[in-house]
Amino acid sequence: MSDTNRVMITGFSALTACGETSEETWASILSGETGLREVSDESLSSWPHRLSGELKNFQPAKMLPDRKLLKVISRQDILGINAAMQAVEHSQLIPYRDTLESPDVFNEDTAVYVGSPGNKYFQQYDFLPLVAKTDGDMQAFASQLFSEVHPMWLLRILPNNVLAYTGITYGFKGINQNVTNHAVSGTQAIIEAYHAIRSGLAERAVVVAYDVAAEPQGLFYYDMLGVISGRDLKPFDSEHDGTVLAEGAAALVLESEASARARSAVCYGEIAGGLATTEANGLFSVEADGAHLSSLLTRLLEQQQLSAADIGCIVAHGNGNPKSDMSEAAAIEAVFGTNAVPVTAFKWAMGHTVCASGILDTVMAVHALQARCIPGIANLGDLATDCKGLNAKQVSRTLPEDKQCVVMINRGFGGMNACLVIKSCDN
Amino acid sequence: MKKRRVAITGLGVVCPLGNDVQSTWSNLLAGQSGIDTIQQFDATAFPARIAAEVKQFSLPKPFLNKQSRHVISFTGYALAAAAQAFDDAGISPTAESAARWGVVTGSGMMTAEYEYLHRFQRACAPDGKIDWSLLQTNAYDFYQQIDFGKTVSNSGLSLLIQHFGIEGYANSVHTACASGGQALGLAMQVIRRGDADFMLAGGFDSMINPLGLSSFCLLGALSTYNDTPKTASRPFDGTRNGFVLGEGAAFLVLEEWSKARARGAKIYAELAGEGNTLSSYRITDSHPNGDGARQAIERALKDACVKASDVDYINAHGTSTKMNDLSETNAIKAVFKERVTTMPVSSTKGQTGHLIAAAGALEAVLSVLSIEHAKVPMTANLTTPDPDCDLDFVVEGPREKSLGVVISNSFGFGGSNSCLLFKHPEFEEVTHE
Repeated sequence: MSDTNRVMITGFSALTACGETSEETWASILSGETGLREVSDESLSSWPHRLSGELKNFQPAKMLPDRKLLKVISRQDILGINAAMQAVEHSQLIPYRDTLESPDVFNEDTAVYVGSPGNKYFQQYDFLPLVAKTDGDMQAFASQLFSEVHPMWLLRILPNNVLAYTGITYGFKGINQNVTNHAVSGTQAIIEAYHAIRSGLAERAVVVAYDVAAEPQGLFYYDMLGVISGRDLKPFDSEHDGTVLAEGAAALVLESEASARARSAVCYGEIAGGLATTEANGLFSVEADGAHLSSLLTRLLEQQQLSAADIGCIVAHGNGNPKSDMSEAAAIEAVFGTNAVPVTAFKWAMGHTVCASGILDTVMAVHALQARCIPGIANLGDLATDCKGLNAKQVSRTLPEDKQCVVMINRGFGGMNACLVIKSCDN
Repeated sequence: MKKRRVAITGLGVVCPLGNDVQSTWSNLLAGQSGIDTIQQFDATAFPARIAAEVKQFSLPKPFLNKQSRHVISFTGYALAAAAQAFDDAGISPTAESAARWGVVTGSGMMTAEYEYLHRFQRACAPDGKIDWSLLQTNAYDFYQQIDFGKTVSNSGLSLLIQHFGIEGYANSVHTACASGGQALGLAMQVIRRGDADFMLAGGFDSMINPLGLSSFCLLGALSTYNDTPKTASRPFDGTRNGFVLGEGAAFLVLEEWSKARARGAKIYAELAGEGNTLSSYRITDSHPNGDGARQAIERALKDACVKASDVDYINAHGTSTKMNDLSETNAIKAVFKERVTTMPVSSTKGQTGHLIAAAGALEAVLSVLSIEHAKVPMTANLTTPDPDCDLDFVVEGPREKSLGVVISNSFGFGGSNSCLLFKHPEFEEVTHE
């Protein structure tokens, strides 16, 4: 592996509760506007905690022009495929491919990496009328199956639909992975795409992650776990009392330096490296002292030959859950120092999109590097006692010109921690 | 740059042919079938009512603890198969080594099962239409935290992490029937790039439940030879009419080569190459001319620095569906050309059924065992040749043959393809030098 085999970001996109493009989402964050609202489904009006981050203008027919495709996929797939299409469009990959004598080599060298939420509860509701009618009678269930359930039901719920249709839409045929590792799926998709490009297994990759984390049955379970806030998502704040689930998707186009240079692509940033490991605790556990996260961040800096002084900003996971916030704050303080490197987080604005959260934060980090701006956490009041060592502010700050690197932290069930270094592109 | 080599030092299996490696291999060679009428629920009114089920399995005692409250059938198979693989390798994570151990799983779809959906329907959709206020009204009767834990996408991965104390790289992937193969390929890459020295890798799945069986019946993808279950899965046969659902788990312990050598470990084989491609053709069908699968095979050969002429045996995906078997045959022909008349190709799914996300992992184990025992498993139930599927399918029974290089194919709905390449540990090669 060549140390000079850089991995450039040449296209990106985002769809969130703050807007249907990455620019809209970035503008919303900068202006301190949250996209979180009471859930629009009135049938949930009796639920105790109803805050949610829904897309405000979800129009499938506008988002995906292929009407036939809409019939064989789910809501979450629409988000993912749209994000992939926006990023591919942004990268201008296809007009370049069209200039080639043959697209075959280009397509076979183009990878697709996806962070997928796997199956969602809502995808099984097509079976409810049949289950209600037959009430456990398997003979009746089987005999009425074909008249009650859509024949393509399985295809609608495939966890790898976004991967498949991104490939089919553009003819990309390279290496691929569909990561189903809860909230770190998107970040791990970026890390694996990075390695594929660095090792020469691909020249470029479309990386996408998506989720509809705010589906009612999911909200019910997270709420029963005690991790949902009824008032606001306030990362690291003394009033933090839980997270707010959201839907969203984001995508990146990553390219080897050679691939980007060959087509004179605009470089918006670089993925300098990333790591992901587990804390080896329970499915829902979070290590209180953040020791494993500290160790992971230390390794990442060592691997990148960076010190805390090189980091312009930390984009924290900051999901508003007190346990997670406090252990993350402990790890950041242990590695980067007390009140040292500026810290921000974005979930206060767009909610916790779970599987898509890491890639959305990465796209916003790219905006931050481009704009040389560290957005504030707009609803931050007083820092929680255990988070007072964080250099987090309510207001936006300038990202100094000499700071070229941002660290992004992402966490998930299974004790998973993942982190990335995202760099400015010096071209 | 020199690649770190990857040794296979441990194997574990829970599958329809046996609940350990030895019984699985001996039953495979003896021509036994794991397929029969479905026992787990009343499937008699479904168009397909046969499957390859795991038999007489109970979760081993060490796993009967609080950590296992989120176990479902196939994550239980995963725990048992992983434990076997660690025992076989004679090494497992310790406090000192845990950070250098990683795990990759090819995970099943983790959909909620029928029993759960029925409870949900009774709680808040009495007439089949959801009334969300009822979920709150009935919350304390309906809610069980373990329901949530069982359906989280990385639930199986988390169980393995907890039970075996793995603290390094961890990932869960799902590309339908290519999941197990892609999980092993990813684990190999993780060792190669130095992110881990030891990996547990494999797959687990079961879709043998009312919803899983329904989903494939609706698509018309399953064999309907219900009266002759033992011959219903007939890969490459002219009368094949669909696959037979299977279930189970298979795991392998992978180690950085020099570390395995240094501790004197028994090395079954080298995981020497991976081809991972996307067909980008259709969701359920592969291209009739083998496009996509062909590139996966070619990439595996290139990755392992071997020539097509070095390959001694192909463990085929061979699902017993019309399109897969035709497409795979044509992919093999495109890569191996005139060699196809003399190179053995077999599909073990005639006896094991199709383990979906676990298929690639089980077939990796069987490929490794074929190297270890110098025996090529047969393609069962191929009695009516298909003129379009005209390879050497090893129909006469297991064949004795010294094997230096074996490849194993897995292709999934959605068009993801995996080809793994295994070398005999003493295969004379110039790879990696």
